[in-house]
Amino acid sequence: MDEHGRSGCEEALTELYTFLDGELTVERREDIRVHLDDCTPCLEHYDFEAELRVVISTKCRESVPQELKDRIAATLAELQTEL
Amino acid sequence: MADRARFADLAMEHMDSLYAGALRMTRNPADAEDLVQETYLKAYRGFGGFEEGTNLKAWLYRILTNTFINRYRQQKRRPDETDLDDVEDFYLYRRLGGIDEARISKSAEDVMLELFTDDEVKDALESLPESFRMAVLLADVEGFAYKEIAEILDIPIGTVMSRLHRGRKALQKRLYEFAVERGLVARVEDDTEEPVPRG
Repeated sequence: MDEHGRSGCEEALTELYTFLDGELTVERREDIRVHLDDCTPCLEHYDFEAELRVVISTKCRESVPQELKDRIAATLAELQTEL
Repeated sequence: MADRARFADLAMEHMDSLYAGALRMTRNPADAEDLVQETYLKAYRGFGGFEEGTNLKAWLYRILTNTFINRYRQQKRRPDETDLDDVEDFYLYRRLGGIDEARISKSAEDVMLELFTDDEVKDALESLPESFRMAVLLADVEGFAYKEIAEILDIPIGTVMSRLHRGRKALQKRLYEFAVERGLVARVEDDTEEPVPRG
């Protein structure tokens, strides 16, 4: 691999999480996109981390117990009528 | 200035998310319920201070976090910045990176969904020291921006980024340990690392 490609990979991996977090500038984002279009190893790594994040947030989802929801709704309604 | 009469209409839909956060913080369903209830009552009373058009879920999370800190954390204030091992970058990818290639027609996402149980992922997150747990929860589970996390936790953005960096690596290592413990993947030895005592 040429030098340009290697430093491209290094930069892409340094900014991987900032990219996935949606915190890069439009320009940096575009630079990374261009690199990923050309670089299968980096693209695979990006995909893996993105998919891992979906797995983590999916598995940590909870439903609030209906009884608690009802209780809070009732309390709020009560407070509202006291005004 | 927000109108209290509209509070319930706007805020009720965020309760699942706040409850999930409360569970990860307190690690206990009864405390989580109390925490959510107290948060909603405080939020209702303080709703006049909510700026309409800004992120209501972030505002609620800030109240949740402050309530948690004031109420549940007084007794065990520990310096938890230091008690997190240094873990190499991309810990999981280095070990499970090619996991989808071995299983035809399955994405890494599907493989990992099967590899880790819900309880394992929750336990892994809950095993992180509190300040790291909060940052990772807010970013990776709730999808808040760095700036919002900084406001919720009342810390600088640079601190948010460093906590995310270290917290995510530690989370990945914990997940990997679960998979190894259940014999689902073979351990990849790492010679830079000292043996981890099991506790």
